[in-house]
Amino acid sequence: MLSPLAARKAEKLGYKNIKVFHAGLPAWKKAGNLVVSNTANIENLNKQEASYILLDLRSKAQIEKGHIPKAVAAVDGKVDNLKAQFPSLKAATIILYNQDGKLDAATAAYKAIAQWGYNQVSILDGGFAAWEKTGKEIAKGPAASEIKYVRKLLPGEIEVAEFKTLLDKPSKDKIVLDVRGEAEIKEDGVLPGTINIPLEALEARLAELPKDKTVVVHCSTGVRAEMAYNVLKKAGLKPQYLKANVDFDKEKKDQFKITE
Amino acid sequence: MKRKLVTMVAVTAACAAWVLPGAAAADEALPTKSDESCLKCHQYDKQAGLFAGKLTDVSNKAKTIQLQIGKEMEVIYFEDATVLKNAPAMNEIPKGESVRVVYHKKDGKNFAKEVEVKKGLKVPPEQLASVEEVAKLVALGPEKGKYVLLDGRPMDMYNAGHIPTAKGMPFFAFDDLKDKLLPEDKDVLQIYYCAGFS
Repeated sequence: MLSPLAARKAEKLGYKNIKVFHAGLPAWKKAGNLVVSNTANIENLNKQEASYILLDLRSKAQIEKGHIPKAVAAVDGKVDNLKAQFPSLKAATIILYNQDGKLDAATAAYKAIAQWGYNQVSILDGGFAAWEKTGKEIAKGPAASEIKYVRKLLPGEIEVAEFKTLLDKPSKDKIVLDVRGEAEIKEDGVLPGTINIPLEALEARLAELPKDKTVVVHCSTGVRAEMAYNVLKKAGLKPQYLKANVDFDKEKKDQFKITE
Repeated sequence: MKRKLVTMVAVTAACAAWVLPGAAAADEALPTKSDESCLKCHQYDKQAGLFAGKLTDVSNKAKTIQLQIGKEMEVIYFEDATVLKNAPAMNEIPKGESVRVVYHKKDGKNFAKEVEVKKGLKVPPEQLASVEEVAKLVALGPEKGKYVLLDGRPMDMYNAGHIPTAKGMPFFAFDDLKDKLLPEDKDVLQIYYCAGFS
């Protein structure tokens, strides 16, 4: 918690009128308020080759005259017709911009997207004008009309689609390891064709795993799977892990849902 | 509302300040390991002989505590000489609490010189600003609202998303930025915020 510390520093400098918004940015967002980002962020995302969605909310003519590279046209702020193309990942980075960064003009689009459950939405501070000022590349002509968002897989991560295929059609070269606890498995259910070793016992039970197969780890959220991935890698195996939620139906335990 | 206030005091802030004065000196030659979340607010990576992470287990029998630091587990021995701060006894530290350990080596094992449990920083109630209060001011803008809003998180987090009209003032750069960002008039309202409680 930094803000109380900064407030104390300012007090020491003689400032008299200091407040701390202790609940901070998470509370700000939760209350439905707008968040802004800046051009340095876009440059940073490009440098990292990160995936993000950039929506140009201006008029068709403005967009064609010049837009930020990689922008998708949401002409006149209309985002509803793009909804179907949004990724399943709710934490996807989404940046909206208009001409000058005036928030009123971007509010409707921002709120709609936040309403769909996306939690990393921001409006570009200063809008297209701020981007022009950076002197960075400007794309001319029509902007892309379709959102193409592909989240980059982290080292060792298996694609959700590939994981699902693996459950349907077991492979000779891969086995699926469930690292959830025993109680959890009993209570929630289990994926077909998997073996179970709880994460905390994994190091002691490495010998149970085949050396000639890729071990694909899953848990209920991906957190423990990632930890297990690191344990297996350290032990010299060639593991993969699923970074996704695995939820079981409360009644029919053989029914499950895998979501990013 | 009442419940909310209680939680605010009871929740230990993820990056509450450690009480640094009087902290045991760390051994310069020993490595430091810290959870990412601690580094948001503490420059542990610039110190030696320190473990900072979440407490996962305490064994009074074996006289060990276990910390989870990122994806790694670290087991540290304690002894009578170990100084414990902000908790009555080692086995009374709730699991999951953030803990900072200053350690040294003895017979090839890591022994804790000092174990400190994180303590939330309290803000005097009259200094607390609510979401509504901040939102009202932001709607007016800094000139009409006569305020300066300051974001204390690291700059890349500020760049990626902040409250409109806020200025980026990463806590560790406070001294470098104060002349540039803080108003000359000592009576102008300053509001500080960061990543909240967790």
